[in-house]
Amino acid sequence: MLMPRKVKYRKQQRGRMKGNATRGNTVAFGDFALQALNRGWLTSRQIEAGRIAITRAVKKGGKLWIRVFPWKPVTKKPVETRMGKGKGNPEFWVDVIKPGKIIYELGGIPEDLARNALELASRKLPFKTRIVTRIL
Amino acid sequence: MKKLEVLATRREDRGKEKAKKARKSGMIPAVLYGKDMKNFLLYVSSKEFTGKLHKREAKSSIISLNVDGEKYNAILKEIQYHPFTYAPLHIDFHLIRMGQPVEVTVSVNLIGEPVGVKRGGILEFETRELDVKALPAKIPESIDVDVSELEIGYFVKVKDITPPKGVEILEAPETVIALVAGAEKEEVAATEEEEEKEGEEKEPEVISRKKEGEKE
Repeated sequence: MLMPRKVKYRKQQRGRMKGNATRGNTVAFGDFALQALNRGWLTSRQIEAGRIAITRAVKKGGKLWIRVFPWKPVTKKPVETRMGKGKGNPEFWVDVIKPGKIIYELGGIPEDLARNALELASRKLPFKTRIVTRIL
Repeated sequence: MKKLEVLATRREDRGKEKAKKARKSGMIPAVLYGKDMKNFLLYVSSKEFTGKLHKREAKSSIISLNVDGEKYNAILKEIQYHPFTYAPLHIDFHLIRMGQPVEVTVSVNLIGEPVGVKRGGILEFETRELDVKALPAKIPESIDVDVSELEIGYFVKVKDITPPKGVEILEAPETVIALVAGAEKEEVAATEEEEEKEGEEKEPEVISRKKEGEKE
C-alpha cells in the first residue's frame, strides 16, 4: 500500500478541506479518468482497492496512472483508553480529496473497457465520482 | 492554418459579481491584449464558444474577432475552466500582426499503428501538443508524426520530426512524443508482492529525528 518513505513530522493536525481542487483536476496522461465530485479523506487502502479493481477489469494492456498519494498520517487512540495522555499513534495514511481531483487515469485501451474499469474502481471510493475524458 | 470568425461585444463591467451574472446569462468574459494596443474587455457568447473555440484546432487557428463591427486578428492564448464542471470561465485573446511570427500550441497527430503494438506493446502518447513559432499564415493545423515503424522499447523524439517549412518547434529536442512500452506484468504477480509488503508495513523514517540522533 502507498505511504511516504520519509516524513518531517510523525503526526499532523486534521485540517480543513475547503474549496475545489485547483491542481490535478484535468486529464493529463491517459485518455479517461475518474474525477472526485465530493470531498473527503482517501485512504491508502481505498486507493489500492480501486487500483486492483481496475487492473482486474482491464486484464491486459493499457496503462494506469494514480494521481493521488496518501501524504497525511491519521492517528487513533487505542480502544478503551481514557482521554488525555497525548495524541494517539499514526494508524493509516490518507490524501485530502477536494471536488475536481482526478484520482485514476487510464490510457491505451478501448473506451468501453476503460469506463467499465473506472466504474468498478469508483465503487471502492468514499465519495461521488464521474468519468471524464480530455477537455480538448 | 485555419481561420475562425468569432463574434464578440465590448464589455464595460468589471468584477466577479458582474462576471458571474454574465456567465449565467450565457456570456463568457474575455479580454483582448497585444503589443502597441490598449487592452479591452469583451464578452463572447457561450454559443460561439462551444461552436468554434471549444475545439482542438482552435488553439492553432487565427481568430478573426468581430468586436461590434471592428475586426482584430488574434490567437487563443488561454481558456480558464471551472475545476470540475469544466464550464468556461474566461478567455484570453492575443492580438497578432500578420507579418510577425507568433508562438502557438499545435496538436500532434500520430499516424499508423506501431509494429510494437501488434506484438503486444502499449503505445504511450507522451506529448500531445507542441509549442511552435511561425508566421500566422504558416501555422500548421497539426503536426503529423509517423509511428508505424516503432518497435517495443523505441520512441519518437522532437528532434526526429521534420517540421513544415517556416515552422520552428520550440520544445526541447530530447522531449519524447510517443513510445511503445512492453506490456505490464500480469496482475497475479503484483498482488503477491503487495501481500508481502503488507506484512512488513513500517512507519516512515522521520527526517528531523534522524538528524537529532546523528548530532548525539
